Amino acid sequence: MAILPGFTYTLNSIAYAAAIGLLSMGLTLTYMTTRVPNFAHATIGMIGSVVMLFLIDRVFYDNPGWTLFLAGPLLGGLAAAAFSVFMYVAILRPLANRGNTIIGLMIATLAVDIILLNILTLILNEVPGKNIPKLIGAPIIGFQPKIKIGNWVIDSYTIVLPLAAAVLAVAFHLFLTRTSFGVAMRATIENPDLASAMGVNVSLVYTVSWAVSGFLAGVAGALMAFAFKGVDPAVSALIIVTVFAGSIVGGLASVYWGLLGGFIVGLAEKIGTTMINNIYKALFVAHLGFPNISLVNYEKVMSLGLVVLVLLYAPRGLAGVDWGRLASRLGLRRG
Amino acid sequence: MAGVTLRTQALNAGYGRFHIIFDIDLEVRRGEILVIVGPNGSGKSTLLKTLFGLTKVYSGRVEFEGNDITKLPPHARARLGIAYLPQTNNIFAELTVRENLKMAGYKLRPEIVEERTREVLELFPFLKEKLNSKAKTLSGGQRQLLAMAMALIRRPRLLMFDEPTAGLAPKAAKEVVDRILWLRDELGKTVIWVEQNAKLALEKGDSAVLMVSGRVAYAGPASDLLADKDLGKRYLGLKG
Repeated sequence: MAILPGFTYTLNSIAYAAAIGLLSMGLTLTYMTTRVPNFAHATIGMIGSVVMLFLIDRVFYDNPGWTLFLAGPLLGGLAAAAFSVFMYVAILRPLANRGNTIIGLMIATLAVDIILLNILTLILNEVPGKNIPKLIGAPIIGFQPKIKIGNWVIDSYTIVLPLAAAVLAVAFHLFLTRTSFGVAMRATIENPDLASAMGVNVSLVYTVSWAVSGFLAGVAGALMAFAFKGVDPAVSALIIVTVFAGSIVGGLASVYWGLLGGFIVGLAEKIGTTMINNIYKALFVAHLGFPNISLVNYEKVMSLGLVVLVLLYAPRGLAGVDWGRLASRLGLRRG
Repeated sequence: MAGVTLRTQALNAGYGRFHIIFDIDLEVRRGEILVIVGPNGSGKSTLLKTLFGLTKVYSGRVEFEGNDITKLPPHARARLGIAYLPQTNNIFAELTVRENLKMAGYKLRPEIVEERTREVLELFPFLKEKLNSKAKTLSGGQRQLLAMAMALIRRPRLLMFDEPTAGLAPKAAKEVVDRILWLRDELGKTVIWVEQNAKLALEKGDSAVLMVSGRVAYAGPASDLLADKDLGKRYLGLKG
């Protein structure tokens, strides 16, 4: 019995991990700027899924093709960004200005999460589809172009999602390092008082960080819609756990480590769980007579287990690890 | 006599309900160094913060070049030509030196920032080699000099330092002090300098204010305060 998962499963897992990476990156960003742990983040991403579903139903039903992969993430990202900004400006900022602590703001995001989830479910349930009669739970996997390489037929979203994550990460890096406003954003994250003394509009920086975070979530959500058997916003309740795990593993102190933390946790959930399951079956069930149960459904144990390990051994996450020192200690680099 | 750059009249200020400084009258003339000395907790730093608009003013008045700035917020004072250099957190450690200089000129036109960055790099040549290094890699003294360079990008006429030599090795401290004198002598800047090391500051400064329990206990020439054995011994730990 093979320990490693199959090719298609691996591609699906990488795509899932990339989506979690994008979500963790955005979650980390708004945490770094405004210190809000946003529990509505995954549901904001679901706005992207809903936009994708509507685009397919109303515009791309007869002729999906590659433009769908451009229009869906772009519009989904913009819609999610708009909601994210609304949430910050209309709800979180006034609460913070009235002296609410991180706990109060966190509870507020939970409230927004539930409201948004219900709004999205209501839309999918009540707005009649033009081509897909009942939008909620509608599978859209068939609406993507297939890539054929010899005998392999690959779901194109599994290629597009990691690609989108890479492009967005590079674009955001260039924004942070090459533009005045990006540098001002980093300066504000480090020392808002000093940045403000230099003439930076700190409030605008915070608002833009929520827009960027929402956009990343919307793109991830739009493309992830293909991964689900059917679009159902309630799945965000499961995803948010993984997104937080990814951000915490990353350290909540660097957007790049947020992306990588999300990616690692996403992979661990899918590929890690499958490998453990395969090992269990091959070793414990086959030879030691353990009960023949499937472990693949316990993927959250994997992500939360990683969180526990990271909090125990690297409390400031991967971003807080002195990699140079670790490398010399392991003899990988001369110290 | 040169004009007055900054003057306060019966200034009372503090944080919220905590009244810290009382009835402060002081003035600093253009192109001179005013040193503010006094025991720990005497309100030196609070006074400096008040001059930059970072505390709550209960009564009194602050004038900069003849204009009432008492009610202006910090960024407006910065625009008028006042630079405030706090003791710590006066640079962005995670940004490169180049990015720090860019941030200093955030509100200026890019070509002006570029031109002034070139000028500042001529004045602080060591920064040239560090342009692409993160500011956190600089030594304590170099950080103070970077903060000074950042202030100069905005061409202030008055620079206010809060204990710029605190925690520095003697050699680095001397370099920072030399630079403060140079600001006055070469660039004609006006300086207000809060310093824990009273002897050092009084030797270098033109005029001095001695703060004791939030009030001005002495205001006049720095050399006279240095020579005043009674005040020096009582409040500044100077030997008689």
